[in-house]
Amino acid sequence: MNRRRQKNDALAAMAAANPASVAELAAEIGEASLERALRDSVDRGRAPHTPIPAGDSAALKAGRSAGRRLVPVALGAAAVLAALLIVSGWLGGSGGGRPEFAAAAIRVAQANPRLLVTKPGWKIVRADQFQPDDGEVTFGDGEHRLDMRWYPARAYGSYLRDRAHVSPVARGTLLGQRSTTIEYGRGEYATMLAPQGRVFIEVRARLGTRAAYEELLQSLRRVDVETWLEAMPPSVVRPAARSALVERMLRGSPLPPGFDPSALQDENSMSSRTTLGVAVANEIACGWVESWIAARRNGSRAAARAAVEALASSSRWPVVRQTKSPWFGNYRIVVRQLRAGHLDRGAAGYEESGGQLFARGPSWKFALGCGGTWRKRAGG
Amino acid sequence: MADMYRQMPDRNDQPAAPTEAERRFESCFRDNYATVLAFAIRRLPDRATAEDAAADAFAVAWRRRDLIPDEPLPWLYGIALRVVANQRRSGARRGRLDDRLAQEAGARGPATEAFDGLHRRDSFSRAFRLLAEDDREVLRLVAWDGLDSAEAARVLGCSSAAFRVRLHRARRRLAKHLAAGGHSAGEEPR
Repeated sequence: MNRRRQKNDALAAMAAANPASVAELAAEIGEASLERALRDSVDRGRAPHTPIPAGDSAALKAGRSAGRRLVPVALGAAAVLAALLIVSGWLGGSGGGRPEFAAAAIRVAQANPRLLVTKPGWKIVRADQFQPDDGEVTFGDGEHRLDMRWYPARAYGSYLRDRAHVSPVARGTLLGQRSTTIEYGRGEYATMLAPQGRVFIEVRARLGTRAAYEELLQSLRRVDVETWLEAMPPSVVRPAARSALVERMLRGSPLPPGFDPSALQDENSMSSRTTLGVAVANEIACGWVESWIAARRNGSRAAARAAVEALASSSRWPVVRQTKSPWFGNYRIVVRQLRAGHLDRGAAGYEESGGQLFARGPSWKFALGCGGTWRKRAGG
Repeated sequence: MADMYRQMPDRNDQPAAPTEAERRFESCFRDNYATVLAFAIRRLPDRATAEDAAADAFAVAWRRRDLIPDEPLPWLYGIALRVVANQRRSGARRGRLDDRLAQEAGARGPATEAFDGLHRRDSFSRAFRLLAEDDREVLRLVAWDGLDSAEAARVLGCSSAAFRVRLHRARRRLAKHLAAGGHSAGEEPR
């Protein structure tokens, strides 16, 4: 066998499968989009507390100075829809009472070390997503922010080794646990606490000086489950307010035939306002595509056209305009498919699980965050 | 455009940038945005996530604007690669969260996964998926991003010699998987 030829052919096959052409993208991105993207990047770069996931070790190794940073819970596509953040029930008494949280939320809280910043003026300002062994909250005082993340305990060793590249480490004790602090420069520090139970915690803040950082860390306190859950910010939509908010979010958008908002209004759910906004818009978008599918099946060209136009108008839907999320860029992709008369029902991608390869799809449902997706064995 | 930078309040962490650095960043952005976006699209599940990653990569470049090299691309790719890796971890984490919570809530919940930008080219895609991620990345850098071995080595932070060895092995393994899957590019040449 001519091995060289075979390998070259493999690389050629790889090149032929290139999913993105720079030339096509450059032609597609207009000046206005480029300006927006430029502003967005500068804005993110300048936001002093926005976590930027830029551990560009390659740049470091190439002789360039660079910092390391963890991924943010950016409201990106895969992110936002991941959706039901805290599942809770509201079992308050007749007088309103105190909230009691459903089992899922309590499990998260119980697994968490439940640290709160108690320095006056500080509170949780962002809490987009939780699970028992992986999540984050951001505390703020109006000027500064502190990010607190928790990770699976098993990742602690490798995490410490990774962070040891950033700066010399300072070891100490915080809240009775071993702690390791690193410095990112310009008054920014991060501290990892040794694992407790299933997780370990990292806090990170840029407060200007080591002393200010240490002072804030000293205000960290452990709290009970209820206190921790009640410290969640107003941006987390409480179950009792959810139904009315969904109703407001739906106003002004074209709703597909037979649209049923009841799943969105489920008062056993609790999420951030942004997450809920994306879920509402997705429900509308999914409904229009279903309507398009039905219209095509029934041979109703007018109804199919109406569905396409409704989805194409998504940038004007109040819920989309008010919920700023890059997720909505996906809608454009599906609109193009509908206009071409071909909805992509193929696999959105593949995943490995237990040594097996699985395809997940259909692609259009992943693009819009619709339910009813499938997972099939692939490969082999 | 310079006004854009000055309209933003300069808070406690960002010393005012020299105008030359601002211009340099803007030029770097305009010249390379589509390229970095394509780089992200090739590695992430959808356009919106890729745009998010590109924005983060350039946000880092903004913070390091006084260090932007004359030939910024391998440097930008190095940043973008880490951003993409973090996006993937984040996407996978959220996918798990969503599946679990949707189950618990008994609600319909859109599942999300950290998929690659390679879609629907089934026979090739299957072979590609059978490779280890390290192999895939080596191949992407050469076949999709158009880097030579020295540039790709910079992105990955290894020596050119080490990269060439990795590329050789990755190509060999891809060819083997293609052949096993009946892909013409993996078959023995006539």
